[in-house]
Amino acid sequence: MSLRTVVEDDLLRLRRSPLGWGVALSVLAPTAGVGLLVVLFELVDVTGGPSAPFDNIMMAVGVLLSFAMPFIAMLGSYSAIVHERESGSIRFLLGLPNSRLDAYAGKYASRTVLLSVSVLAGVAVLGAVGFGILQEPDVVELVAFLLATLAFALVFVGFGVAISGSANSLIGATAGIIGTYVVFRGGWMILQYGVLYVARGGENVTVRPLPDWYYFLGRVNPINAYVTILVDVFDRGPRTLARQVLLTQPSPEVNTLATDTVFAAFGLSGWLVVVPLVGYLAFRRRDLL
Amino acid sequence: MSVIEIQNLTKRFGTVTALDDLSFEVREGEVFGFLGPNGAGKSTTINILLGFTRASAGSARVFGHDVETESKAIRYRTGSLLEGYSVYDRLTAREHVQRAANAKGVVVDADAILERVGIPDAADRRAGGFSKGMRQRMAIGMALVGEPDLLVLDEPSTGLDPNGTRELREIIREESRRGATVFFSSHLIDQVEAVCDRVGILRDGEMVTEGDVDDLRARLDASVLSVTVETVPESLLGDLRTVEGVETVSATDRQVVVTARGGVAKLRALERIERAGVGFTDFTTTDPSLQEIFEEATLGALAAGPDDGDASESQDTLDGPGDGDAVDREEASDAAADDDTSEWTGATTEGDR
Repeated sequence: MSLRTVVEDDLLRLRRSPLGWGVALSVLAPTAGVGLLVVLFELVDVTGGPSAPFDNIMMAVGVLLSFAMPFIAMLGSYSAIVHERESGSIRFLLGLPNSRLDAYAGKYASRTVLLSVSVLAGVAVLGAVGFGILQEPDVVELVAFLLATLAFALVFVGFGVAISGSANSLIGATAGIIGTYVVFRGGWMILQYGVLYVARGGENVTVRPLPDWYYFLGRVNPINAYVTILVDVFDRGPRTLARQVLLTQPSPEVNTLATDTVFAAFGLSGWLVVVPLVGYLAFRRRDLL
Repeated sequence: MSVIEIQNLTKRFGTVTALDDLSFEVREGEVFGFLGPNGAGKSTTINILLGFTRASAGSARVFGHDVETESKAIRYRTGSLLEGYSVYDRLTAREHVQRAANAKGVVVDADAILERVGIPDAADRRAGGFSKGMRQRMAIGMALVGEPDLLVLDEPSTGLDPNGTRELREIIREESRRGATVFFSSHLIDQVEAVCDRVGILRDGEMVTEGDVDDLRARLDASVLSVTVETVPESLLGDLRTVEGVETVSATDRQVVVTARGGVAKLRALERIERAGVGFTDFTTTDPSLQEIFEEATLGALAAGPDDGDASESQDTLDGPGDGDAVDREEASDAAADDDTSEWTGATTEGDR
């Protein structure tokens, strides 16, 4: 009862706040927005040729989301708890018979609903455009894209709520989500090379073949895991731009589970479970003064 | 039966001790006034009772439930109005009350509650546009949801105008008549005195005195005896100073003012004045107010004991870094200075008690 109350109240406030609508529009822009652009280009017949392949458009959307979604999802969730704490409304939230678990899980659930509904709406538009206009649409690919994108978004909702429950102020939480984004977006590669540098004693650091663990470490990053899945679903060429830019190419002799979609899915699932759990354990015993 | 049982409760924030081995009980059905200067540890105690923070040592139970492991069960039976709360700007007053009802799993007439706290016309307005007083009334309404067995009110008159304060007192009395236990935390003595059966006074995280207001008055019974006479010879003043129990003697043109401890001392002083043949006309006595008890307990010697009655020491303690929020300590010290309590304390805490 309490959990449901927390979820309903948070959703009601999100519906009435600019944050809720802003996050939804930010998800819709690179998904439904791209779909609508495709329709527009088709109507004015820019290329004069056949319409674009479904895979290409979906890959492009996925690449956009790989950059934008972590930040959008954390933006939609980072204030969930710390804003109540900073404003003082947490006195109501936890003065009423809501447990810490009710509060934490309720906030996580409501922000999950916000991001999921936004992703669903965006993918629905993409699907309609794909099956209406684009070449070779595939329902299995579309469902795989939807599931991967949902998981990807919710991993970062988890980070946002965990940071919100741990931070003492909104400024601290803001720094937390920026830091998290920087670590996963750019810092992870530095981490990989740093470990490689130490492991190889500072010599021949970039000489291939790179060890298997290098790929395991790289694909554990949820952004890399998401791109790995996208490439497997939509990008069939071995040397395409997405592969070149977004992922370290395994040498031909490297045949490791790390570069497989199964490991990527496993990695995303792990983050999905571990981050909210660790966040709750940290929040459970905090002084909320 | 005790509704709140606190035993040897200690709370430390780093090197600062906010609560120091605090023990007291609140009995079922009573209105308990929890008094103390800013930073004494009142809100910290409430935060522990309601699970916002955990004790460093000791234990606290409410309705027999442990505050750390059974907090939710406690809050089902408790209505709380906590210091430092904020409303949800985008929810209406009715939605706030309904939210409290949903969380407690009860069905309420939200409009009736809002009418009871004096804001029936605000039911459909978003709380973000409320005045401070309206927010406070709404928060009181939320605390009343579900006819709680315990009301925890932390500085509940904050933001209320005199009418609101009077209505709050009436609500507390009604809730008490209904059978609710009320834990009323405040630094406003007149508010506490008006509604409370019993008070506990907190200073530097320690309960320095606790009991019925009348009992506390009796413990402090250094009341003032003012006697109107026709003349005031110097010999009479000297004679009065020798009476056992008389603490200070002063005089104006036709009035002798005696501070005496205990009824016998006052009676003996009156007898001396009558025997002196100075034209005894009238006399009045003034018992100590709760305000004086509070000041005595928080700044003076009521709690300190016979060897610890120096006013400057008390002041040092309030200003010192050893306990609670430093800013609050300074505010408490400033407040004491502003209302001349330091002077009062200095006058009455000299010598042993």
